[in-house]
Amino acid sequence: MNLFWHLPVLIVIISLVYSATRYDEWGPIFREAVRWGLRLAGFLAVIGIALYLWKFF
Amino acid sequence: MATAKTSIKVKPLPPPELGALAAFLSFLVPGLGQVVQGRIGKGLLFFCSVYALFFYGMYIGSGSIVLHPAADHERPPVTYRVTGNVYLPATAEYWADDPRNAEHKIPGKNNPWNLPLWLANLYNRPQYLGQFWVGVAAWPALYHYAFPGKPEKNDAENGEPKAPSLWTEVKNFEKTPNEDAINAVHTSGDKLLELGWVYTVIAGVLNIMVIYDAFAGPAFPANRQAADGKKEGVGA
Repeated sequence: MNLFWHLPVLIVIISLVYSATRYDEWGPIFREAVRWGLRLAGFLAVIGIALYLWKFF
Repeated sequence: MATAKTSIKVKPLPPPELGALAAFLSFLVPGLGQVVQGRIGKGLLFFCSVYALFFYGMYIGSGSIVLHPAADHERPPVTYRVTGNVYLPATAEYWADDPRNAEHKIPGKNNPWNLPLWLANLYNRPQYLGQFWVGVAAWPALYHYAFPGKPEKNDAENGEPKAPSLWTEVKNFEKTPNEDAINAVHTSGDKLLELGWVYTVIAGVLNIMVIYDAFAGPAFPANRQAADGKKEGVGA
């Protein structure tokens, strides 16, 4: 199994726990978790793309 | 025409009930402090999330490999097992006097700065500094550090690899694998073993945030959110 298939677990859990330390209600927790999940996924995607492109130079 | 000024005073919230005790309980078991404070759903969320990440990391950080001695066909294959990545090996030694020159000392093994042994061992295995914060789930490693016992044997001296019994699994939970097993499994495995300890460390560090949440409450308490909402509404 590719290494990257394990990343969603990490992203989901970090987003949920971090958001739950910022709010006490479920609504804001889940909204913030989705936002953080997208940020994390985007950040990792940028790094992945940069590393992929690097090998051509 | 006078413009209406609206000012909203936000009262500072009292600290959560049982802050210090709840923080300690959340250190022991993620989310337990929140449960004691009555925030049961959130406590369960922390419990499931932190433990899921921790044990998932342990799972992908474990592995076994059967190696056949290449040159010696008389010897049976040996199974090398690494049961996890949460452990604290006692590998450092103090500096010793050089018998050839009394004024000089020979640096101890894995201890180039002659640190106290516990500190040198943590320096050699810094992952445990992060894993420790997951609470009691990381304590068996401390037990094995304090009472090392006999090193784990590699299985299959009789040729057929045996599945370890449940008692063996429990007994060796978070015990430092022997060096041969670590080398064999890491050499033959992929990067999952490395990713595994990263997950366990992140789980421990996330639990520090959980502990702080139990101690001081969430960063944005409910009444502050309401006040922020009213402030936003004033200008509209």
